[in-house]
Amino acid sequence: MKKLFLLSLIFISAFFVSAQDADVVTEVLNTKEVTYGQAAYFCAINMDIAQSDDSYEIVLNKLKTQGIIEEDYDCTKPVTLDVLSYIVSVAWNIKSSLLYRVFPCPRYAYTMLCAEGVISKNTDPKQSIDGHTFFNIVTQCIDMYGEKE
Amino acid sequence: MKTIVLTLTVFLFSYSAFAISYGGSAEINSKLYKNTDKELEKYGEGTLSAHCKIPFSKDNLAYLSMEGFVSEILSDYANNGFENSQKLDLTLFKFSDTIRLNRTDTVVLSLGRFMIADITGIILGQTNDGLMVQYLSQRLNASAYGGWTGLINAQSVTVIDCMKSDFTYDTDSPYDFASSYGIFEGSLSLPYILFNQTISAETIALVGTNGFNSDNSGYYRLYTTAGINGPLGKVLFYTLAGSLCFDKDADPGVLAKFKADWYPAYKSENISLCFVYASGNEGPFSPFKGITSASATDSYFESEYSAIIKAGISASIKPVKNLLFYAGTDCIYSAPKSNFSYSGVQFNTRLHYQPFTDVSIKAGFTQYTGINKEDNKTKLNLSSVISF
Repeated sequence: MKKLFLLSLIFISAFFVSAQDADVVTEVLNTKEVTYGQAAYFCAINMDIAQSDDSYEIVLNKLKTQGIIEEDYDCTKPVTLDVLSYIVSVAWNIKSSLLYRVFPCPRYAYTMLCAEGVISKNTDPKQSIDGHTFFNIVTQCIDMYGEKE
Repeated sequence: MKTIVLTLTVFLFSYSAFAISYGGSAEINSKLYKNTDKELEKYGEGTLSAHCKIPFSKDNLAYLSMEGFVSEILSDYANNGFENSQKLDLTLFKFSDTIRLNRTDTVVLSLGRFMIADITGIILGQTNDGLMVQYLSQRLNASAYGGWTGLINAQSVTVIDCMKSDFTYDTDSPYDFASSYGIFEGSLSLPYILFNQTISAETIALVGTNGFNSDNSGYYRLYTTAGINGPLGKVLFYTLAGSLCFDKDADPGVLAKFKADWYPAYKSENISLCFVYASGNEGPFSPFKGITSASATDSYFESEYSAIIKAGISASIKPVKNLLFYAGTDCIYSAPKSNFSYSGVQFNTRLHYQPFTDVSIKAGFTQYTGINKEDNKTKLNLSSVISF
């Protein structure tokens, strides 16, 4: 159910639960630089620790409260690829790298997702990403690491 | 000198407004060799490598990339006791820039030390110092390259010398300069020109020069290669290439290669057929000579691609995501003097296991059985790598 709900958010279609979800997806699809708040929103929903009507600040606070992120990220600033890799790795419990298991951090999360083919190797870990690239990463994570129903 | 290096380093790091990516790996590699009449030979190598990429543009189209390693080697040949040696090398130091001319055409500039190879993959395959300019479009790809071998490490790369070369190097030194030649290459290819086939043509000139450890001035070898490759259906691909070598000091040599790859789309399976012919002393031809020394067989004396016919089949499969199994066998004919005759058969198998994305373990077994038992060799090797 969670997978179907998240997929519905991503692909604009008749499965939207509310107009607010459509707004979030449209907003992220059209953005040239996905923010920390936007990235955290979708990952927190997948982890069942946020509601679809939570604001970006609330979502980031929930992630910090749960110990998933340690730093105070500004929800309006563009998320970097390595931090997104880290949030995504925690959200989908991706642990296919030995060094990431021993030293969980954005650097090893980024190299892990590059090795898995989720992220292109021809990228800069400190670069920001657009909405389409973000949803490509999220849908790959759902397909590869999501719960099998 | 130190001031110049420091200034350059500060300049590069400050000029780059984008994140520098870096990493490294640690590898242990061990091998056991056995020839029929000799004692068991042992070889162990520990390697630490590092790499770095400095982008100069947001889209990563302009960047400087570097890679190098240092190795500690322990070897015991003929049961004389272990000897240790070191090897260090800078295998990559390349500045690259991609210039988009329009939506479909690009020009790529590469300057520095990087890997170069020819169409056949047999004549030339080594790191070298030089400049490459490539023009890439939908209808035509063209490239031109000029470089020099005189600074690369002779411990890592062996250039096949002319007969009169006076090249020598210190085998105990971790880094010593290779035999000096200029390498000049020009190629054209027409991608998917007819029924999705790609036609390629290439010319390479190896020109002797005066270097630190050799004086090969006045010598040259020229290669003219043509090739065609493409799909034969959805899952079958092939490569066919032929090359003529014109040596200043010898008659022409011929190289031909045919390879077919079948991908049945089951567990990432691949089955390959490969046939290689390198001329010997026959008719108007002389033994073919490549540029980069490469072992054509797994025999004890590891013969070159010269005066040899090699035909084989191999297969690989990934039964699970992180496990690869490979097995292959080749039949070897050689012409040490004139006519080709059966020389031996070889078999090799490898297992590659990746328990984590940054940990890799490989195990391999190779057996060469020849007409002359001095060529026989049995080899076991085991290696593991962790990337960080």
